[in-house]
Amino acid sequence: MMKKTLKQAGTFLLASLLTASMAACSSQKAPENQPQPSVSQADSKESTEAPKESGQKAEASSGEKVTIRFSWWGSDTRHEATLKVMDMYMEKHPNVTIEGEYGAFDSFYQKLQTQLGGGTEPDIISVDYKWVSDLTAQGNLFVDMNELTQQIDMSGFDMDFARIYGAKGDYLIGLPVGINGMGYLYNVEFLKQFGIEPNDNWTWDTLLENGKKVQEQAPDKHLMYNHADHWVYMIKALLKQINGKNLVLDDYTPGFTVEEMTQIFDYEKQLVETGTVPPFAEGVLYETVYADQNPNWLNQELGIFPTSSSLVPGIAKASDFELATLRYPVADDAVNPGILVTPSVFLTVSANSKHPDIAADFINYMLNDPEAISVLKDTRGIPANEKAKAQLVEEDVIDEKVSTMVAQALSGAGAAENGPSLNSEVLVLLKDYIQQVGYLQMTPEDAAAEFREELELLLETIQ
Amino acid sequence: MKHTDHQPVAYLFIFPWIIGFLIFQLYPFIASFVYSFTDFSMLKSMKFVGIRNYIQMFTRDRLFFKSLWATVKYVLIAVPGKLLFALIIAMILNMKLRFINFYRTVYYLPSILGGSVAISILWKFLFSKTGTVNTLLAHLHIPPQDWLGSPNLALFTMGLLVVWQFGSSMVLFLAALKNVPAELCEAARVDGAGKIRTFFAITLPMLTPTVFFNLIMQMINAFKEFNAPYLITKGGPLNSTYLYGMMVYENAFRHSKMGYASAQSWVLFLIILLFTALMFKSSPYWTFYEDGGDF
Repeated sequence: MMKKTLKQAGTFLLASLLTASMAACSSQKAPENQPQPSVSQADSKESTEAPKESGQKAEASSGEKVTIRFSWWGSDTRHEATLKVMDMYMEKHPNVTIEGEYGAFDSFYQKLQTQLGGGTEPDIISVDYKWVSDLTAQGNLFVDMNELTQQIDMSGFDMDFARIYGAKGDYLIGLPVGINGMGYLYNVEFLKQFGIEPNDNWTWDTLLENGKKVQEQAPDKHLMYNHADHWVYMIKALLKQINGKNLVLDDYTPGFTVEEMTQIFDYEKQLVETGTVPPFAEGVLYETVYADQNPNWLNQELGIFPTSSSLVPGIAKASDFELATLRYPVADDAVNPGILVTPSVFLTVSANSKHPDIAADFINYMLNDPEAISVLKDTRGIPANEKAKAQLVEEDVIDEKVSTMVAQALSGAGAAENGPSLNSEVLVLLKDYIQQVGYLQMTPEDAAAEFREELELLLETIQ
Repeated sequence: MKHTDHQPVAYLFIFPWIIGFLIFQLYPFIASFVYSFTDFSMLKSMKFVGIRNYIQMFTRDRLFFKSLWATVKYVLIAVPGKLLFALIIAMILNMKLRFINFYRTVYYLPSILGGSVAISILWKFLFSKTGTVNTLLAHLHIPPQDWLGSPNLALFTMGLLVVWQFGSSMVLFLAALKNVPAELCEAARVDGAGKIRTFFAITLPMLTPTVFFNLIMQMINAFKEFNAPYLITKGGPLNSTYLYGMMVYENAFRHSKMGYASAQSWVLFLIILLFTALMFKSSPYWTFYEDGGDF
């Protein structure tokens, strides 16, 4: 009897381990060269009742009942605004139903990959710039935006900016909704209390000096907290400032020497040793959440939270104290200022979509219709569409902190990230060595040498 | 067994289970074995790569042995801890107390709550630097610890979460305790054995089959633990809680290396098989069956 139970247990174990992998095994063919939803056909379809908004042709009004799905991640403010815009669109196009699939950023990509693997992805998909190189390596999963110029008015967009992060060769996977800039969000009262002067000329040394100031006056408080992803950004920014290169070069070799990485890890160590950042053992609990969920930030035990501008509204909503932003630190002798400026979200149309024309029309509505722009505001960052941005400036609805942070970042925008530097395994490897140094388990020299060695081995397998 | 007319009906009754078994157990079981020899990534078309995944795992994967070692340590913390705790609680609940059924229900509750998201947040809250546990310790003049932040303590703290879910083992122990013949204990007492002697000479030997069963079940569960590290620590700090299940998940869903993750699943399967076989081999030396243990 017992043996049987055991066997069952074994089977059960495997099943639970492996159900995950089978969930996505039905159709793994990458829809390469899928016949593009013929634009011309959509065009020739006589739209009897011309949609009054923005003069765009909307194939949606042809009468046939259609349902499309739209997925995005974000905070409540973004969800509410997006759902409202979907309702507005559906009111204008009674035959169209748009279903929203939304949640937190945390597991969005895993879910998306599973959906893409099973061919069950939504029609309109939000894609982060960090995934673009991984996704474009898997074939043409999304409709090439260059083929949707008829349906979507792209005149307000800086297409070069879109291509840097959203294209592979000529193939452009989507349109960037907003612009995201990296900067320091700070607690105004906190900095004042410790006699720290916020300005836009901070260098890495300023940061250390001010970190010491806080520690001298209040040993249980710290100037700054870097969450796990931010340590990576910081190291990449430092590297660009030192040698102007990406972490991994386009030819899949490390973009740094051991000496350069030693210098960077040494700076990390100084941040820890001076108490500018909390000890890793304390901070690690909150390393995957943003300031709005970090009790130390909410209790005003931290002064600065480095963040990208699109997260600022969410953090501001959770913090009941005055916030402002200052420019990301740049070394005096920086080769490249290195501040990260990226698209916040790409809106893409799945190549498997049965109604790409309607999906494109809704994207056009979101990005170009004045009513939609008024509702969406800056919930996806400062709009990348110049016209939308001008409208929001006019309406005076952009959070000043957000616009300031983007402007500060643009004043020192760094060289663009490349695909290999965004590879998930590369980032995991870097995070491991950041922890080794941060926990003071390895010297910066050893960590830099070993990191470079491990990275080279890894890069061989992922080329 | 004699064939009867009832058989078709019997098949009808187990039909839903068979379907579930074929689709959710047998198929993934076989499929993952095939995938383990491919570079399956869910999106790209896959190609066979022979045993490359297995070679890479043992020669090139810097996290494989680290993760395996963390998992073994975790099993050694969680399984004995849980069984001991379950046994102690079962013995308390075996006493004749008022409202005993109420207590039995209450003590089973943590197992139902399990490793849910809410519990993991509760755990983070209890064990954070300024959390409840450190506050209690401060009253005992013990300095605060970084329960989940220190590479030396995090695995232990996570083990506690699993010990806390002792319910199912406890129920089995409780049932077994009820089956310990009262006359044996009585006879021992008449012969002058104290409570402790009675426990070790009579109760515990009578419980060994249950201990054996619990040990195997809990060991299997602990080896494939995923919820706790995923929800509480994400494998950190310094990968000290990067358990095997977490590694398989990350390879499959974070790095899109389904084939590689399948291969790792199969290695885990073999490891568990090995440990289970060892336990079965050793069981005749330490388990006691009234009927001679013929199963």
